[in-house]
Amino acid sequence: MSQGGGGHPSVRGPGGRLLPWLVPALLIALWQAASATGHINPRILPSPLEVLRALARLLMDGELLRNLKASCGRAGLGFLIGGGIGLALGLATASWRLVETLLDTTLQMVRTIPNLALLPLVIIWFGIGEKAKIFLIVCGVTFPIYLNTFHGIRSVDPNLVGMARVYGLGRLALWRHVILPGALPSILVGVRFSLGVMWMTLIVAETIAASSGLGYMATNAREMMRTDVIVLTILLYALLGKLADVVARALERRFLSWRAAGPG
Amino acid sequence: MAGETGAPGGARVKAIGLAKSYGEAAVIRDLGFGLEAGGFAAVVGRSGCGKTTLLRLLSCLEAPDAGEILVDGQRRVALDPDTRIMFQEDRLLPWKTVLENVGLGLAGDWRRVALGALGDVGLGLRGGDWPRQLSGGQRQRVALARALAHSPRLLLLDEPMGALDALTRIEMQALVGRVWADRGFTAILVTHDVAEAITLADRVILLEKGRVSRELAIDLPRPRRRDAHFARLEAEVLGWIMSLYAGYI
Repeated sequence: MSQGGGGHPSVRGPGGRLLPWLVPALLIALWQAASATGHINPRILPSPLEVLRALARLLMDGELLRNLKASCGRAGLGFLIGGGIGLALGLATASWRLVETLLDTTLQMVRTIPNLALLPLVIIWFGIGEKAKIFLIVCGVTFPIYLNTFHGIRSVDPNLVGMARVYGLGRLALWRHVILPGALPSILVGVRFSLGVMWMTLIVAETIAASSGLGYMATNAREMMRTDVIVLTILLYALLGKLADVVARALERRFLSWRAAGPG
Repeated sequence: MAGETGAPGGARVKAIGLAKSYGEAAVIRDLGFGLEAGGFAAVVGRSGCGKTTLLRLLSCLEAPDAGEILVDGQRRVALDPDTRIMFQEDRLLPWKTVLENVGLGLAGDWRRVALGALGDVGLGLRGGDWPRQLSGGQRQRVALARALAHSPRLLLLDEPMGALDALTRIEMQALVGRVWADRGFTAILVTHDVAEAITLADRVILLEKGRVSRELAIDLPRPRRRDAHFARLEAEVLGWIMSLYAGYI
């Protein structure tokens, strides 16, 4: 988590902000040109304009918003439940030796199972309803948060804990002022990681077993050979992933601003 | 400010027959000394003589195997709000501002108290900064302010100047001496720096193998100048320590 990153001198000047978007823009321009001149078969890959048209059509008939809402609802709910469980487990195992001894080995074993391996079983259990998707997301999100919470709390400087005790902080104040803020950088790493897991799980689950959502939209489009809708869905995934990352970064900026300040 | 945590001034401290072992190793054995209210004692000795352990016992961070600690005649068994420690490291919370660090553990109008303590160490304008924006010496001054904010009657100093560069250390010594004179608390400083001990303390206690082996009253006028009298005292204490070393060489 270095602040400067890389060691390359950063690009300055008014062009510096636009420069990262140069390559995507060029690629899209090239794609449109190749499609327009007939070099790309529209049945294999639609042109960017066709994808835009698909976007407009799906926005008009409300299909896109309905599916987007379904996907985001599942993702959010699964993330909240899984994150909550992971956080609670991490807090419990890091605070009480007995809980750690009881649970850690089991959790370490279970976490090595890819959550998508449960998919066939989950379909038998829950069918293709909402519960199946949320269950899978919960399984995927819980462990990154659990591991990072546990690790974060355990790596809080014991000297600081000793100091806080001398300064008369009770158990609750110790958690609020020392242990949780000390573990927060690690917890937020877990949050970022599990956001990635969240989208991936959702996409796979919706592609295989769903009757709504972005993944369902893409699967449906495949059956009708609508490549424009499939490409649109993929682009939306990229956008949503980026959005989740922006949120995670904003959280870090808000809560970890003390790390950014340099010696002055 | 002192009213919240007890009577102002300093605490009378007495240690009787203290002993502490870690496994087989006896670190403190039959250690005793007394210190009058408002006194300043410096504990010196070679590494591993039990200096830091003594401080941990005095602050009740650890319980002695035998013996007792009396503060104002009362037996001490638990951490007490009248006693504060300054550690070798500043131990500031990096996620709290300087002012919030100083206010840690204070109740009520903590901002006013913390700001007053920060002013006392000459950092009244840095309250809004993060600890990492300060130099090592400034951070240690914040740690001192954090201790002062509680108006302690007994301040334990565990080599708090050990990690500072020579000039910063002299500034810090002057600061500690000044706030001690102003506020009148009792201070016990653990150090391996004999000159520092003589600069600050009115009594130097030599620790040897977990016991008090010698004591020397320092009757120099304050603020202390490094004159011939100072040099003579310094040579005497150094002589003790070297004679201890002679047994090991």
